[in-house]
Amino acid sequence: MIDTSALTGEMDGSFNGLHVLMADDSTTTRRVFQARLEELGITVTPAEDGEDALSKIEAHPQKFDIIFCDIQMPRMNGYELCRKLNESPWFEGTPIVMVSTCSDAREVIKALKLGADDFIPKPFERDLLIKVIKRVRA
Amino acid sequence: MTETMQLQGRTPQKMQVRLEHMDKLLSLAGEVIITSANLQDMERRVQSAVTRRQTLGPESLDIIKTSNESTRRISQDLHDLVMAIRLVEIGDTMRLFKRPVRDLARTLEKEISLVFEGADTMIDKALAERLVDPLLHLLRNAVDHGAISPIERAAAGLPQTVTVTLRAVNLEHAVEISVTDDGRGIDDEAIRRLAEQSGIIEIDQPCALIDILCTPGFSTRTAATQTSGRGVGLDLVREMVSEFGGELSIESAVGQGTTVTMTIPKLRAVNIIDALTLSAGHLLFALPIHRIEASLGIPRNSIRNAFQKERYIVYQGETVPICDLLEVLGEGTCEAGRDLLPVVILQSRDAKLALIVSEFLGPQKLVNIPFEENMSHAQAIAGTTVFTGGKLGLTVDVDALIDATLNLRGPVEKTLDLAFASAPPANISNTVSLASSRSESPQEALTTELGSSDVNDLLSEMSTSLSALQDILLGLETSDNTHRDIKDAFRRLHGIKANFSMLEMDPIVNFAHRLETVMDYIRSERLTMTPDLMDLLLDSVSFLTRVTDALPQKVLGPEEELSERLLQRCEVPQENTLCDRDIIGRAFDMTPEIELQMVTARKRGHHVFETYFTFHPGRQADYLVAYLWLCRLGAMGTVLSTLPSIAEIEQGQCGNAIKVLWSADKTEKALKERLEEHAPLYDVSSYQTVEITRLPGTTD
Repeated sequence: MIDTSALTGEMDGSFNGLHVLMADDSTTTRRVFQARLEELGITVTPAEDGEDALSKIEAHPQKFDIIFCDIQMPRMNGYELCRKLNESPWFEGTPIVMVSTCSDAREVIKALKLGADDFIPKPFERDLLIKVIKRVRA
Repeated sequence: MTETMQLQGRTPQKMQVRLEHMDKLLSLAGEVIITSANLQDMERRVQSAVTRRQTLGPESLDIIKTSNESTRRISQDLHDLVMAIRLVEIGDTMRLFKRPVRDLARTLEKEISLVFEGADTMIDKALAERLVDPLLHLLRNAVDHGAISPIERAAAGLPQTVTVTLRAVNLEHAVEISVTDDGRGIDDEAIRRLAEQSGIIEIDQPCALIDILCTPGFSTRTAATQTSGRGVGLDLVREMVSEFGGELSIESAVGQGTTVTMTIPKLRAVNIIDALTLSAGHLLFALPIHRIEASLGIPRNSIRNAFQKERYIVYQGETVPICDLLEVLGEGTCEAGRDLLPVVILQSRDAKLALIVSEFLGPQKLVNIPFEENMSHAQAIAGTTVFTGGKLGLTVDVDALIDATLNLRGPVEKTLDLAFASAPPANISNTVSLASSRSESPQEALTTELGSSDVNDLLSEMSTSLSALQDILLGLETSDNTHRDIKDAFRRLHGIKANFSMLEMDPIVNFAHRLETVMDYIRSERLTMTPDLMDLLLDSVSFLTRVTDALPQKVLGPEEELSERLLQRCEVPQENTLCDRDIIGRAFDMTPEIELQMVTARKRGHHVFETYFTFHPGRQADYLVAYLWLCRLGAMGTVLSTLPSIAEIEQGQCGNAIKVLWSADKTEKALKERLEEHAPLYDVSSYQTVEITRLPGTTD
């Protein structure tokens, strides 16, 4: 059996100094997500949609440790953002985590194939969030 | 109705306001401030003129004129705007009836199609809420009536499916809302004969059909069911409709169906009444003008005495009881020492009354301030109002006054039989009759880190989603594309669960999760949809709606019985879904390419493993965790083949176990450390590895 105690032991404060970008068109989701991340010591730059996110990442390609993005967004959706980022020569392997209420396997796998590294279903669960951040940084 | 009123007192009502309306409101507020500043300036001028004993110039008159004009215009704009803000689409109310009608159809074992027309008609929110009870009544009548037995329908040449149409039409000064069924219609003659037999009308007395049908008690006579079953509680419906100034009419043709129409005058103002103001003794009164048939002077000697103290006058050939307003209120008399008495002829639905007052003061627009409920014993008085000049007056409830004075009826008992209507309202929070009477133990108000506007956004999104979810579920029974609809329902539910989670309402999240599991089983056809199962789903959605409607004032707990029923449904299929159902008895799909990779790996001194992984159930779907874990394995070595296959996993067909054929440049022992480092992050609960030493194509 796998010992999971190691995982729960070091949950808080271990992400101090991380800077992430959070793209979601819902203000509420952004606020909730931001609050959860900030509890973990993570700095969050919010973006309203894919285009907003792309321009913010383009401005400082090295600034973000993780990109969180919703799939369904106006102007530029999550798939498009993923594809654009992965096609950009200046974008170097920053992990992308999709965040969505969508639970259809094909949609989720599509995002992963377009270059996303992980997927978090809404609603956010703190423990899963921690796991996913650890995963994509491992 | 008392019950409704009580609930209104407890639950603050909410409505959505369009941003453009808010902007207009803001700009009007700005204008009020400017006008007020002008008046302040004017006050200073007047003050200074008074002090210095000067006269004011014509510019002062201009300022007053302008300010006065602005005030009038702003008041009108403000009022129009508030009325516009209060408008809601009647469709939201219409949708409330889907569930009760569906349930009734199920009870009667009939196919009923409920059709909405004019759902985008805008009506006042208060009206929308008050329409629920009478409409529910009419719909039930229509369903009852249209739903005569299939044999009878066939004999009458009617289609098997009963169509009930709920229609709203916007007229210039009124809104018409009608309920039409395609049943066999009302036999006018039969109803008249019945009314004559039961002594409700005299033989050959002219009487409108609607009046017969609305006679209290008429419908309860057993014979009524023989003639069509029409009229059940129609008197109550008329009573309710008249409460908001509406009228009820009926149109029916034998063999073609029946339409009952409510014609409701558009509310021109909230609580603003066009009133005739008058005095009685030292008191001031306001009577709603639409209840006044005439105001006139009556010579004292034209009042006749009937039995004992009862008095009447003859007005337009009709005998009308007459009484003194002050006498009614026990405050003395208006008549003392006068020969010509000012009298208003009041008209209620079924009676006229002549009321003697002291003096007419003229028509005026007034704001009625209704009494709190604890004043409701003041029967004939609806509330207070402030007259021009600041004097306080009383507004008269004409119906109550007539009923009380003429002792027409005892307290009206409104015992609506709404047993079939167990669905709670989706958007309207104060309609008791639709809400189930179950009592969840109310807890404390919602506590959350979210700001109140966020919570409101969330709640309104949830209400919309829940009502959409109910619509989808109701549509499933008749839909052609159930697979798409179930997926859609599943997606909605998932979002709703997400929102409850944001509000940190864990017990409800668990409830929603159970519901989601049941939906998932239906989606994957592990559970078959039956009417009972549909009831369970609808009840669960209704419950979630009740929970949402109670927020943020109250946080309701889960309903044990319902939750238990869901759990039972969750448990049944789990027995059949062994975690490795898709693995046992299957061999890896070996293509020549995979065999080549195995051979190459071995030649380069790499190791080939067959590993069986199991996963803890977690927030991420099994297939997703499996897929991500395979990506992780791919970083440690090369994944050659899997069970279930990658294609199956990508389709979501994966339980909580996978078997992987993979190669790595490390030994099993060397890999162990890396596997165990990552395993907890992917909820891997156990794994067993066997190194494959034989070459493909050979057997042990």
